[in-house]
Amino acid sequence: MNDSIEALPSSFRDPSGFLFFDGGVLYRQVNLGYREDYDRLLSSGLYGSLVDAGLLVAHREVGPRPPESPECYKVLRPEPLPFISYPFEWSFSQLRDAALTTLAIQRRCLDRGMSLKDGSAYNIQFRKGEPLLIDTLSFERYSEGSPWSGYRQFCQHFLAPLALAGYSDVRLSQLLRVHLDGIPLDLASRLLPFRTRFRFSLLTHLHLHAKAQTHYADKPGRRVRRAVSRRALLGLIENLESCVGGLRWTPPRDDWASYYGDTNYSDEGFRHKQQLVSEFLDLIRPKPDMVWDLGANTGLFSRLAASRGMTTIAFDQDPACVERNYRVCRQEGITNLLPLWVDLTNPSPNLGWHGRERMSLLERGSPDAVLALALIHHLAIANNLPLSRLAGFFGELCRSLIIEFVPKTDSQVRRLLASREDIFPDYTQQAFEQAFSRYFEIRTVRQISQSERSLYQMERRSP
Amino acid sequence: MAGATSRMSDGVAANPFRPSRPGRPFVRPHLLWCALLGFGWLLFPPPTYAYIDPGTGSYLVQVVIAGLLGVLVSLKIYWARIKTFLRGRSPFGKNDPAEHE
Repeated sequence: MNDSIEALPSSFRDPSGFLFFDGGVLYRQVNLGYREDYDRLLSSGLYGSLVDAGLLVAHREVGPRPPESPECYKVLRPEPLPFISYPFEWSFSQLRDAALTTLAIQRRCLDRGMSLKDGSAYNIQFRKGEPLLIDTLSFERYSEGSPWSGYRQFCQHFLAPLALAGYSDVRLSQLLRVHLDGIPLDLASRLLPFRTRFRFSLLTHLHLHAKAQTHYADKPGRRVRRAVSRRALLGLIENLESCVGGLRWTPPRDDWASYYGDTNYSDEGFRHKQQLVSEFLDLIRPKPDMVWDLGANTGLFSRLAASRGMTTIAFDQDPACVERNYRVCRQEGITNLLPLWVDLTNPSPNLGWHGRERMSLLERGSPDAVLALALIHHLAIANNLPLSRLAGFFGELCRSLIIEFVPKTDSQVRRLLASREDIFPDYTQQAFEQAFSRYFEIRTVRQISQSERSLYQMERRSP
Repeated sequence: MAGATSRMSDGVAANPFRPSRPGRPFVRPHLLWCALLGFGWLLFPPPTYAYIDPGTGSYLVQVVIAGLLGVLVSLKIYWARIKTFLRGRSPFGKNDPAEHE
């Protein structure tokens, strides 16, 4: 690696190459040590087949970036992605689709004499609504008899969280945030209900796998090399596919996912709110490329932004909402809306080695516009966040803001205050406007018909 | 396990779970105890807090499972061929040499 360019902290582990930014453009260097594998990826037709199927990110080869590195074989410029998300931010179906994509890639690899050298969920990203592999250096030449070197990682990154979500509790997939190399299998095995031992694929890939890992963990290294035939490897992939494909999670009909149905909006009020949000989105100049919908629920309002060609990320803290949102996007073929499972009061932090391997949520992108609909009362009242702090947060985050103010007299706020003392004397519309005026210029305010709520469109003040 | 119990002295194995002290040989763990534990261990793996090498276990499990699944794949293929054959068609297609014998 040379001095002027620095590998991205997420790619320092791989000796085959690294990612780097040069002039704001992302490049991937392929090292000489990876030359034969890279050449085989292209000459075997695997690269073309995967890119055509939308399973691998496309790239073009560019000349070496100066100053030239002695170990550089090629420099690639991968197709840029609008946003990087992490597996612990995905809903159940997103993680399952990512797992099935990994297996589909491995199957195609075996057809062309190659194999995936890892099974990491971090190598998968969502582009145009569908998962694809972003690591062009994940391939190695396959030699008959070799096992799949990504098997352990696949079980830890995909199978364990999916099984835990499907059989125990969907929130357990959040263990991925603590265990960056996937959920330890002995932990998954202990948390899974006993009945999972009667399902052959879970018994073998998780429970017996965990037991074998534990058993051999402290044994002296053995150089036993037993062959796994290609047919056996295909049987393994097929079994993993049917195992992952058979895992299900049905979102419960809980408070959040049914929120739209339970709000105090009349049909007319709800339609009016949709109309106002659409109008306000159209008012923003220049037209936003990236919109974040914070507290997006099942994404009804996010879709208003997406339908205007704006890349939209819909964040919600409820996995059921994110799951429903994702399913609707898949069904309706919405490709520029990415639902993510994030709790805004505790967003994804920096993680991994040196605290730099995985970026915090706020480092990964900056939206041009933010939707904060029916959100502020939850942050201010349920989470005791002062209005001045909220205004500061939004002022740092975006230049355009569409935000809804929900007064104390609203039934939802009354419900929030029903079981607690009202320690929020400052939670008034006047105080809200005052706090936000410090960072934003209020452009438009409209009251939502047949409700007590108001919708604001604000633009950040020039510093 | 085999490596840990390999130190024999006068027919008594060193206890693999305690450091061996000269002059205080321990009795070999009872086979019955092992068998009982073994069954429970199979169903409830003990927690491992230090992941020295999870790769070896993963490798061996993959070899065993893939081997088994490979046999099943083979059986499926042959079963499909038998079914095709019983339906009165060649299971090997037009260019199969067996057809021309």
